[in-house]
Amino acid sequence: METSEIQSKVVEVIGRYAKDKEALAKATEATNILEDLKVNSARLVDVILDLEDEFDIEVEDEDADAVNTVGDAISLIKSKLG
Amino acid sequence: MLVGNDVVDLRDPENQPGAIHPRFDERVFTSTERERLTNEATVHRTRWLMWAAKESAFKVGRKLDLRVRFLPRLFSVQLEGKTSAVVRHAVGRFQVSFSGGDDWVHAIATRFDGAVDDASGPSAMVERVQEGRFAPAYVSARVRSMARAAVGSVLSIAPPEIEIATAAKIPVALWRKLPLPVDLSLSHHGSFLACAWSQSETPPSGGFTPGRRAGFDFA
Repeated sequence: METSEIQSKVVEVIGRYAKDKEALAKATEATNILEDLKVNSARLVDVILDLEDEFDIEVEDEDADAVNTVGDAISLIKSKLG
Repeated sequence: MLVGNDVVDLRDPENQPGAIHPRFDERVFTSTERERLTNEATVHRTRWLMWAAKESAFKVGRKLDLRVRFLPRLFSVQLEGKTSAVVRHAVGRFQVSFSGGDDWVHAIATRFDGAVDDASGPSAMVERVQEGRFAPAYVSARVRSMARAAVGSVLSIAPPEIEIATAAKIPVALWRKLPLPVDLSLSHHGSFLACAWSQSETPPSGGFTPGRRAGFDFA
């Protein structure tokens, strides 16, 4: 899967929970999911679970906790997809 | 005394049983905690009490050791009725006190072995965000304003003179660039803002001498 396709799907998933839609529209790989997009910490759990479903992957707790930015999520998914 | 807090809006549409991911409980709670949810008549409230207990304990745990990460299942919650809990984690044990209303729950965590007395015990304030004022910038400014008022009252400093900053994502209160001897924890969710504070165990270097403690008694 191309990086651009992964990024598009990641942003779509995070967008379901982002409170700051303006920041979402301008999101880059450096965008912090909790602080910039105002995703609640409990919803970050849902983001990880949605990403598992979207990409048919399994994310360990330790890997999930390391996802701070949009770029972190993209890198994680790329590593899982090989 | 180190303090952590977390507030949960029970009416947030995203928090509702039909809205959270079907594997949310499995991801967040231990098997014992999930069993408690299965047998609980008030599943929704209990779910978020346990979440708030974990999150508030994590905030104290991270102050003890910055390497502590929020892996929810590693913060094991033992509820003691509806008003308190004990949370266990590799970094230590935490005592958690709950308060709340029909549409919110709030948790305050401290170290289990921390000496609690009226002078240094944690205090907290929870505020409902005014309708239509949910913009992130407003919410952030308002919760810091609450913190400044609380710290100012405890240390008899005019709130405008206090700055709320963060160090390693932990809120700190500064006065003339010096850290004040107050430990802080801030939280926001949905329609609610919360701030918890207590006087620090060790006053920071710089020699700030607290003034009288004002009678600050928030719900």
